[in-house]
Amino acid sequence: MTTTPWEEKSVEERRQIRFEKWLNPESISFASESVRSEYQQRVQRVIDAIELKKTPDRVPTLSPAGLLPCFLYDRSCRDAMYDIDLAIELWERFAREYPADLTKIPGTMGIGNALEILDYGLYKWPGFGLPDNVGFQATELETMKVEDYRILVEDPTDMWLRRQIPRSFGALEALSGLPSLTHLVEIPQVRMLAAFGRPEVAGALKKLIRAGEELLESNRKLGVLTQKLIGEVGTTLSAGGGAKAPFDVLADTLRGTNQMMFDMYRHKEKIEEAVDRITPLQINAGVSGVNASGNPLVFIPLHKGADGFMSDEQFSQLYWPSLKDLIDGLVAEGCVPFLFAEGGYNSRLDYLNELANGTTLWLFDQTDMAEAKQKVGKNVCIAGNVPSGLMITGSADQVDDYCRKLIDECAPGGGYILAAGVIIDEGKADTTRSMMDAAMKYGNY
Amino acid sequence: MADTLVELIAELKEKEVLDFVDKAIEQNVDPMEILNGAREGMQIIGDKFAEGTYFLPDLIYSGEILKSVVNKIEPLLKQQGPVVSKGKVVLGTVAGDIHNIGKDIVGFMLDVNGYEVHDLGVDVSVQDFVKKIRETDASIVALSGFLTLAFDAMKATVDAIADAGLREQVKIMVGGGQIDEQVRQHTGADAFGRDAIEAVKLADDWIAA
Repeated sequence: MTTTPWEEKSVEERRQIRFEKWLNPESISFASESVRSEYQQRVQRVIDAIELKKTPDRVPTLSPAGLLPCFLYDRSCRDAMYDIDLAIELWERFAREYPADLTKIPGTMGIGNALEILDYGLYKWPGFGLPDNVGFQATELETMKVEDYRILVEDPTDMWLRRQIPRSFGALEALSGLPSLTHLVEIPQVRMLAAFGRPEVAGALKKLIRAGEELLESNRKLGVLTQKLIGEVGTTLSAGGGAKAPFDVLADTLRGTNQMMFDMYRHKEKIEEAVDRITPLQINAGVSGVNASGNPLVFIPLHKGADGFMSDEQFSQLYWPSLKDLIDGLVAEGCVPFLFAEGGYNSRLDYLNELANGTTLWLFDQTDMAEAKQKVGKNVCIAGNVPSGLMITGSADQVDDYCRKLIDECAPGGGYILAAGVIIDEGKADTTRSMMDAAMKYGNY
Repeated sequence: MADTLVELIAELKEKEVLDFVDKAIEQNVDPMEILNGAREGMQIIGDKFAEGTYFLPDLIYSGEILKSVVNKIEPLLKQQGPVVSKGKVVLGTVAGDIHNIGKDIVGFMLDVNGYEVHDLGVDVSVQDFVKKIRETDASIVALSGFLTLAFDAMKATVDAIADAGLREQVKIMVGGGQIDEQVRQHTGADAFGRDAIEAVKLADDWIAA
């Protein structure tokens, strides 16, 4: 074992260290040697698909679970949103009954109480502004005004603390009245902390503590589930960390889609400056998740760069450069960016050949998979794209047929993972079974 | 003069468009002439979208520019009679789904293409769709939905329209993120469209038939 410090290791060395940790997780006790070996086989299968150096033993699979466990086991999404124990029970059962190489945990479930305490306004969810049996949905709140671009670039934490957070969380509105904490430099400024004594600020902090306690317990239980999925079921999670394309942080989290589209004409330079400021923050977000979990996959859902959402000129100027910097930054840290290209990405495929070979995983939704395989299949691992329409309204035979063709087109030479095009909510047992079985039936190399 | 406005709108030159309209109003240009110029510019934008040189932000931004133009000339237009529409459309995002961006663009493009659009908003119950069709005597229904939950909500809406005895009276289109031919069949709608321009084309074909 070499003892060179992390900073001096090559990118390849860093990735191999992370892969080694992923294959041999320190904190997990395996139920048996056979579970350990099954776990390692699954992880190795995914690593082989990503690295493109050799074909895996068979086509790996990604769990299609969105809210699917709720629908299959006939429990309301609202109940799972508010009861982490129930969510864990449903997701664990699903993982055991429909084993996949890359498995999902109910990361966005069981937090209803915390969201209500904080009065989160950026989303509505089942039980809060939405019917019981639907997923959470974005409200497109404008949490950063156009005049705040300057503050975002100067001091992003201040932008979040005193603007984005008070505007997103009704219970934390009072934080907008805090002074800028970087003004605190010497004894005279200590007086500015008086702001924390104001009843409305104290009230906001109390709610923050209550929500924090809820989430602490919820997170602990998710941790136990993760241990079980690895140590007893012998599968690995589909993500170890998360990040967002800098443009999408601006569009989804800060400005809202409509405002962002106007900004593309009225404030192009501001966008360019802002995405560059956000990039290192998102690299840090991804790496810290990977460090904590020991799983090198950084899930990055892509939204506003899809086919039709902007011109190629806009994509090449406003979306891609900072996304590429994010991907390169994560790869440099030995992580594996796992990009989910929702919608179509047909017109953007050539960009993927700018990325380092065998370092990223791309999940496609409505992209032509044969074309993706041909254009970028030698440079990146591709995954996808069983349509949600087929999974929800089609027959098991139709799904089997679709998967067989997909595997025929995409699997040759390796670098392919069988997956649904998007996460599946209102799915069915027979089509889900059919998809998971297809990898075993047609995916052996 | 109108040609200049058409061009400025088609090229999405917001500031120039608004300056132009201000000047035209000052010079007592017929507000209908301004509106027609703006609509003509919108047609070009629609064509450019259909041929793949314009994209979603261009459509949404053009809507924003048009809104400002209409705000400026609206007080002047009120003195004139109502415009004859090509047909009535009842539009909405189906129950359980609160996404509005795609639906809004469809409504806006149908509107600038001469349709009388009755937009019911988001998370619209089947009863509200039925009620509005009765009330307006519309011949076209456009159902929007971004999430997969919309598959069944769309089917329920189409079924409710049939149960109310209105199915023969209307043509129904569906659209949104995950809608494809497979889903169209499931819902029982007459057609699906991938974008706002396809929605206009479907409506035009139905009206012409």
